Amino acid sequence: METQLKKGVLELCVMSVLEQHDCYGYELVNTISKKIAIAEGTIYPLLRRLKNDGYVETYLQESTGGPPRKYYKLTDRGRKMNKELKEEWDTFFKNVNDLLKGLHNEQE
Amino acid sequence: MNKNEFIKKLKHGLSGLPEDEVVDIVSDYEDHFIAGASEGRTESEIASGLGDPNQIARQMTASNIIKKAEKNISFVNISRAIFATAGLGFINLVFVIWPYLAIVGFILGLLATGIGIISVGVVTVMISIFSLFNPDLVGHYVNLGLYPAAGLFMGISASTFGLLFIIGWGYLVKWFYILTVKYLKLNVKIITGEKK
Repeated sequence: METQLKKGVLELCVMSVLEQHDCYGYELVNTISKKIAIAEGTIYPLLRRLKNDGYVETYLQESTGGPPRKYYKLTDRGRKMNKELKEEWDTFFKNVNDLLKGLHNEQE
Repeated sequence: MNKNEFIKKLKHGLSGLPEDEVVDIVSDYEDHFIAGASEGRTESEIASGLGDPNQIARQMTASNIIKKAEKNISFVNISRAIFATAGLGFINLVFVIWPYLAIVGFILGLLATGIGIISVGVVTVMISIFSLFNPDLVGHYVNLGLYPAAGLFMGISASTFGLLFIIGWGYLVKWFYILTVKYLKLNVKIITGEKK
């Protein structure tokens, strides 16, 4: 259950991080795995699909002392999608919390 | 597991994909190892953080195979897609596979029915025409309560009905195919955490 939940919100997390600033793969994976314990390797397939669906795009940028890095950037379509997902999440989160609070009161 | 082992397993698992796609996917993970190493992490730490390369490869191939089944409609492609999705170990498919096969059986049964109706119609038409030109045989038909003209009419009706039946069947198959692809996509999306 917990794993399914995490996976369900992963897309929202990835897009929200990218909304703040463009990231290269490792940076993005690292940011997310600091907060959510998940097999880091599963974020790359997700990024690929987001790219195929036109929600993110990639570009190469030189890095200091290493090969050029592939950066991920949210497209306009991705921004719109992220906004929708965030609203859905907020509603869902609020409703679940209301229910949990209700249950809690009944138990007291 | 070190970097080479991880990449080797990943490549092996991706062997069903086009070469340029494999190169692209593998380079993402190689970059991940390089970036991790520059932060002082060991290869085995990075590899264990990434998770099972076989599972990653299965995720990548499943959605690719489904996409192929969606683009090029064929029985072989959809079968491959079903097995690839089942390979992800999603319990949903295990429960669904038997009812699914039952529906496939039912659809094949409908095809056989349609072909049967057309065959009966065509044979009736042929016998009727034959007996029209061989009046000797008409006697037999009259005895059976069937006149050649009536037989001809019934035969043509049956053939036409059978043909319409098969056309309807075609639409049913198309619809069922699209539904299957959608269902498989849903499974892969749940597995890989993609919503919508």
